[in-house]
Amino acid sequence: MFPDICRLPIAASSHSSEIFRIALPVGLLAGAAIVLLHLVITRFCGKAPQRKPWRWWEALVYLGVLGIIACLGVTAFAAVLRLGAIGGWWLFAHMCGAGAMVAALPVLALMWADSNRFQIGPADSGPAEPVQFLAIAKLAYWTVLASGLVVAGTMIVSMLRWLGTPGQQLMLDVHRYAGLVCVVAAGVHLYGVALRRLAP
Amino acid sequence: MNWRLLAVAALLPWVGAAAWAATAETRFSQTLSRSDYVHWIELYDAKGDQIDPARPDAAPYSPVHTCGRCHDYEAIRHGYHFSTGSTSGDSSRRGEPWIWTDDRTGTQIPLSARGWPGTYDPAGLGISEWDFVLKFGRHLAGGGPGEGPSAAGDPPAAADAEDAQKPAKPAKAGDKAQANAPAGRWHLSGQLAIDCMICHAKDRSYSPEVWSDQIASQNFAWAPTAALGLGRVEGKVSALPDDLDAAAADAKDKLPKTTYLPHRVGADKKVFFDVVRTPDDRACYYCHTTRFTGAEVAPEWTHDEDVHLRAGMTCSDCHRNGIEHQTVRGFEGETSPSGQPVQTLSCRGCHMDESGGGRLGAPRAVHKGLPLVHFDKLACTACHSGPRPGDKPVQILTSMAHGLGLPAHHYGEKLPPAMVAPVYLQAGGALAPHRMVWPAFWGALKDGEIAPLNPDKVYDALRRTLRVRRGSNFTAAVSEVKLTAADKAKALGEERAAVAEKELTGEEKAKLEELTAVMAADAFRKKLAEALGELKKTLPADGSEPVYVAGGRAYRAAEGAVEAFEHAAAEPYAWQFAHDVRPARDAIGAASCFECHADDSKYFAGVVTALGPAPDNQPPQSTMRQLAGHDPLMHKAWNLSFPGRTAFKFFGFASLGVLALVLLAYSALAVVAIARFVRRL
Repeated sequence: MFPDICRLPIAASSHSSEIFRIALPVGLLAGAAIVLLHLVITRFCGKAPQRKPWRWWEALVYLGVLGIIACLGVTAFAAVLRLGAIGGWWLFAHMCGAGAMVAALPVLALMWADSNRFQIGPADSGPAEPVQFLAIAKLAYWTVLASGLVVAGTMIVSMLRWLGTPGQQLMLDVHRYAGLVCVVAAGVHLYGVALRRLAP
Repeated sequence: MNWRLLAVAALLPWVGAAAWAATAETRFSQTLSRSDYVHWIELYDAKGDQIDPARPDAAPYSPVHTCGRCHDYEAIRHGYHFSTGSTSGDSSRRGEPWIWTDDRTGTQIPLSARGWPGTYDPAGLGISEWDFVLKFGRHLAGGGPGEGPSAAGDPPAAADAEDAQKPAKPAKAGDKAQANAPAGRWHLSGQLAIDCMICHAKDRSYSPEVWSDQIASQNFAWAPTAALGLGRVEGKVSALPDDLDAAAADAKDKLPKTTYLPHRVGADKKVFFDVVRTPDDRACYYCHTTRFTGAEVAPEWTHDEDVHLRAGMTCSDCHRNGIEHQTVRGFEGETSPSGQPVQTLSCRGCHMDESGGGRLGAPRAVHKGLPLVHFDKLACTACHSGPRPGDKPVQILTSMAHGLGLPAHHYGEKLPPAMVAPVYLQAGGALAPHRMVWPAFWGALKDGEIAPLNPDKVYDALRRTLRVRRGSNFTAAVSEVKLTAADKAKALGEERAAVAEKELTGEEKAKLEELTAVMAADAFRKKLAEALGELKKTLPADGSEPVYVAGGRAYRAAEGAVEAFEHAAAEPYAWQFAHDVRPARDAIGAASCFECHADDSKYFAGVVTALGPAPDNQPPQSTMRQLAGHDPLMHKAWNLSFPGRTAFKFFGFASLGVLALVLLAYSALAVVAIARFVRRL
């Protein structure tokens, strides 16, 4: 029994590409489900607090990061779904996007972190302060940052002569799933922003 | 009817079959011990009769009947080394073919009966088993074609041996048998049965040179005895007339005589065979040696042996087999006809398989820092095997193609067939090193297909046209040119043309060499036009057109001249190789990513030039990148990204450090806020 259980991760690791091909659409569908669920819930909620306008550079950084994540998601997931593995020009484009992602993530963190702090407990008395993001968008923002850190970190560590093949495989697996989480979170964040801006 | 009786009746056949099976299993004696059995054994001749080695008319021993008494010869004869049939190993991956080389006609045809694309079935070219054995017997272990034409079916080996000793029956007019009469002199030579001792001799008394000599003398049945040094063989079957009746009373005096050496024979007429169960590397190397050749190649003593052998392993540790001799080839995805799983006997299976492997203490491959995509794009051998890639692949000589292992004075880069390695080609989606040879032959073009003609018939047809003198070769004969003073003056100018050759500058010498090459190519084409015209006379009038294929091109006659054209038949034949394996530290890329990821990387920028007997001053050339089918723009793009990688790593760590600090700081703030909130409750 015990040796069998021990072998499970090994078996999973040797088929990790196949498993990820199955997990990928499931993850994307889960993201869509979160959005739908939130839409349903918000219909029954009260009025949202007042909207805080964006400055142009905030919008630029936001759109930039969103574009980079979209590029990384498309190059990775389309290649995985269509070809089974990422390679060739897909990989090259993914690698170029990754460089931009590494540069953009800290900027996103420094610029938006404060606006994405959660209000814990009841608000202070007085008129409600205008906010930039809904709670779901804030949650998605911190998820993007955390998963982005893992996504970029796993690949940078893989570029060093630290890990052998099993370690590289582990890094790749973590990279894949963190990337999926990052893309889904970015999608949810975009939905949160759109909802906020489209709301009357 | 009593049901018990019925049950017994029903069970009887099964019991009988089981009993028969049990008996069949014990037909061949075994010791089942890991220690070697000491082989003091009686000798048996090709008819299965025991030999008295002391008799002056003793027959040569037959491995079929001597070794076959205890070992299942019938099973062994289907082994990979002895047979090319459907039961013979996994032939799905191309291997080294036999190359029929004829220096008189510029012929080098890759032959194989395993159906490898790019090779030709000897039978299809009219090459009989007899011709095949005489040509390649030097490096055949016996069996297969050595068993003669009757081995095409599946008769018992013993019957084969007896039949082979009988003289061919005189054929009557119209006799169908005559039309199908096997080529050769099997009735005199006997069979070239599998000689077990060519691989399993433990001491160093077995002589492949004697084996080869005996085959050249057509003494097939005598070869095992002579090669093992059991006895002296006098006489040559090749010196006997075709119509000698081997069964006649006086034939024994004419056939080769075997005199067993007294010191090899015991008092009880038994002979000691120093047998080893798993063959020694020396035995494998006799047929599987590869040497680099050419002026630019470093001397042999500077090259390292395969890392596995240096670690104390033997070839047969991985390339193993059971009694059926289905030797494992050791490539990924191989299936053994034995039904046994053999994946852990491949490089990846042994060194990288998480659930198996590690056989004989094989270390797990570490590959620190190597991105996993390399394992999808490259075979293990791409980085670890063979010579390191250079500006061009090196020319090689192999035992099977060039007869290495036999003493000779002519080994060198000019010895045909010209063969090169390493050439990196796609194989199953991964890049792997290959050896490459360009076919050269005279053939017939019909309906767009080129079929090689029988080499001996070509020689008969073109002997007078090509006029290749003894000691010369096809290339020299068809490209004989002598530069006249006018030619030299044209290339160097009047003044320098008059200067002695040794006083010419390097540049001037190169000019003359270039001119010679151009004139040689012209001379070749003129000669070729004549030869193609001559060959046309021998072809049937069914629209077949004579062609010559060599050096990556096909040639045909066109209005009194010769036209070169591209054709699939002229494409090089390439096969993967795995040895010699270099250790991890000496693998390509171990020192730096730039060994491959640079524009000038030999791995991709190396130039492969077609080689062959046809003089060609502009032979077809391709870069390794082209042959690998890679997009040059993508290579360029990747290569551009590499110089900045070190800087990117520093930048990445700095960037992620900032990100981590932000996350840490806001996590801390969150914890403080939660703590405050909890305190307020």
